Amino acid sequence: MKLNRRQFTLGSTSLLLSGLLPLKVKSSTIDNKKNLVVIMLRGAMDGLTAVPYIHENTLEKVRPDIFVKKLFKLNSDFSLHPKLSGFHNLWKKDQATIIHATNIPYTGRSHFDGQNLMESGGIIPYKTKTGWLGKGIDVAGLDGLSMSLPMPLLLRGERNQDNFYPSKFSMPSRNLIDILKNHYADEPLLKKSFDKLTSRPLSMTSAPNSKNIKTLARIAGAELKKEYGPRVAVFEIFGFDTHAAQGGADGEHGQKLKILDETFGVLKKQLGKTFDNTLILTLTEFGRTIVQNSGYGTEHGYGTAVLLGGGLLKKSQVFTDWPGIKKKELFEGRDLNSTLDARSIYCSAMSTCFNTDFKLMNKHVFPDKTLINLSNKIFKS
Amino acid sequence: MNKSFFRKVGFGLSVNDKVPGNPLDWAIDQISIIPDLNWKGPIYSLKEMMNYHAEYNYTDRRVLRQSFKNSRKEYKRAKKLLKYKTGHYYFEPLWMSIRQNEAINGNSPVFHRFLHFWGNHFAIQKKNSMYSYDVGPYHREVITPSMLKNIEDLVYNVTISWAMIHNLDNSKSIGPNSPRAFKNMDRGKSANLNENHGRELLELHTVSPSAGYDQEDVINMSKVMSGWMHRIPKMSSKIHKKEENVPVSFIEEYHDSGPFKILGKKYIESFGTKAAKSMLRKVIKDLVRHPSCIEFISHKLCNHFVTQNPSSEIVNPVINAWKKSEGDLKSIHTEVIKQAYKYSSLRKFQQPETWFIQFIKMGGIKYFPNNFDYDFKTMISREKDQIRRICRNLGQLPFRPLQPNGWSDYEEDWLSPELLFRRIGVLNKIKDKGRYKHIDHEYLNEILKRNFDNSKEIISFLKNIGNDEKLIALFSSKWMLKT
Repeated sequence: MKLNRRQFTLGSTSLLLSGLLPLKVKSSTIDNKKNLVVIMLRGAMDGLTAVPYIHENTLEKVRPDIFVKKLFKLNSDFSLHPKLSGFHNLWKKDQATIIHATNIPYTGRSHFDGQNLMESGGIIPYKTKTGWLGKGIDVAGLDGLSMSLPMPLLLRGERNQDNFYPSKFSMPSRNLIDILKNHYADEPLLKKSFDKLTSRPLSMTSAPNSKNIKTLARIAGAELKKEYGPRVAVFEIFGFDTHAAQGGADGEHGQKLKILDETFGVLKKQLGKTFDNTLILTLTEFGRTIVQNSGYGTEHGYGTAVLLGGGLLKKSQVFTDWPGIKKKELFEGRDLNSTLDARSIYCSAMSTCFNTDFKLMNKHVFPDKTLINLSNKIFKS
Repeated sequence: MNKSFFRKVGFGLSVNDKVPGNPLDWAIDQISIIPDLNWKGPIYSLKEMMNYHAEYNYTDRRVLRQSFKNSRKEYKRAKKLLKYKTGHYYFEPLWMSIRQNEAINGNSPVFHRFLHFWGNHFAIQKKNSMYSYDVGPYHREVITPSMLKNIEDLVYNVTISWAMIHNLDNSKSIGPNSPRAFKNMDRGKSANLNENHGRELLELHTVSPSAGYDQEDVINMSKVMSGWMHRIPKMSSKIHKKEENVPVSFIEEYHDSGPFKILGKKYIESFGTKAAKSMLRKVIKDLVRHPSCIEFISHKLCNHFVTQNPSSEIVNPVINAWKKSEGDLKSIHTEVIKQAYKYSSLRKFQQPETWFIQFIKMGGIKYFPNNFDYDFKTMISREKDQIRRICRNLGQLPFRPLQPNGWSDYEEDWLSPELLFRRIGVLNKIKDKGRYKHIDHEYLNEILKRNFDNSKEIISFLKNIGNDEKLIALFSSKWMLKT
């Protein structure tokens, strides 16, 4: 597995760092520390491959060569891709939710514009230079530690974030480190960064095998578990753009879903009890066409599904205002429609995890629209 | 003497460089002609590079996806071989090597510092593998020849270049008052403007938001730009294998007939293709004369070459040179150089690539592979890919900015703990590879004598550091990070 295929990013609470909040608030907030993990699925994840609509075999008819068999049945209408077995285990424990027929409000079918909007949270590509998660962290008054190089747009806010990304590089001798420390004394920014660098915890100084997604997820889990540790993690999984050989259970899309499933699995295991106070959710730029193409793949579409896991979920459910997939029910006659602005999910998730008022979050992060607060329907109060 | 000037507008002096008697003349001479290429390895024309990109796109989309629709593994294998055949992994390191070779071994490092600046100002963000096939030749054949002309020429040539048109989606734009829009309407199809390029032309490339333009201005700018596009050839045509990798042309059928109103000025298009085609140039001519454009780009130049957040005392002479010369780039560049010389005591944090090129040049480090030939059949060697890997590790691949506004030129964005660690880590790694063996006391003193006014202070700083770490210390020092 290549490092550049996926990265993760951590945001940490500011309470320890700022020291501005009274002890009472600090203590109470830490008691309620909730973690938010966002997994970006780049390339347009096909919601109908991950969570197929099985009613009346409509999907099977239009995807004769790529329809996945041996699915995990969720209810009378929906099933789950067999590569999502770990996610299915969460489902059985009331720790998995699927929000279907949803998407960010973007219908242009361009990866570049779509990915820009899924990260910025805006409605006009490239207009906003910050990300919705970065803005949410700002609203909640948190500091961030990004485990990426460079920082993904999703996590960029107005304030600077700390960052770390595993590498095989090493520091020079202790003597030189000490000399540089003194040398940077009259350069405030240099000094601040170098001080942070030289006081990193052991987990960040002994470089792990950076090509292993499980190692990255383990580090993220270990950091999120800490009482005063980070509370936001972001991963990226590339390669969902399957125009050809999308295949059935063992096809390219299935392989990517397997990586997603493994990420859920490692985080669940590493977080242990903290998983109860964690929410993991997916983010993609759009879905894919209903009908398979001549290369046994699918083209860029619109509506898709968001997968959520973690102990902060109210129950396992497929939450949807299902638009149908008959020809006349499709968006522009070809794509699953979206009946819910996915930003409502993300705004609700931040509001819940950051203990911040939904309306305040909506106003500052997604100011172009009044979104729907799904907190009571999806998350534990 | 202001020796930091050699790093402010160039990449420092190597021990083999002749020390210029008159630094200002040395710098200004370099921006007065387009320099000859020092690079002795392979080089490809923009046309050849477009053909490689076309072959990659066509074969993947029209051949491989059909041939291997039943086998994911076979498709992946075939695609990897295609990538070898079209130089997919080869061209980015090649073009980066050409770029950095000119900076390090060429006769006009100052010219190349300005080229790097404009390449980042008119950034092609990471998209469609353009960093591999298109950005290098775009810098060489679009930006470079425009650098001795007027800013109007530079903006215009960049705006209608294939790289920028494709990068900012202008080929997807249809003017609402265009023959194509009317045809679409008759067929019940929609026809929309794509505002991406129009907006960035205003926001990033010329007047900036300080001009106070609104959404109507963006729409009107996009209307003016409609028709400038590459059109994917029909499958039945002889050149259909070129996919979208065909030259940009003005296709009047897609062009909005106006009238237009941008930043308060009305533009009415007279009848005929010539008038329609010339409208973009007319608007750009006004944009580069707009006070906000002059102020925005002059400030950005001084921010890059002189100091972060430069005062009006520094920026105003550049603004005046722009106005007086009506946008002549040589005059503008000359004034920037003069300001960098005058204010060479003010320091500026260097972007990772600039800093690293300075390290290679000043330190006399062996860097480039012996040859850059490639068989187009196998994976390129690690040796050839080294330049790309180092820049990736430093956090700045020059041909792959993540946003259309290019790589940041602000200290805060480059001074995170990890990015600082990467610089020190790269220096340390190169030491471990034994590439500092030539750095003895005499060599180090020569570097200091040529490049620093405070060499005594630096010698004192280095005195308690082991010989093998002196170069790491020097290039990690505040004097090198902030020049």
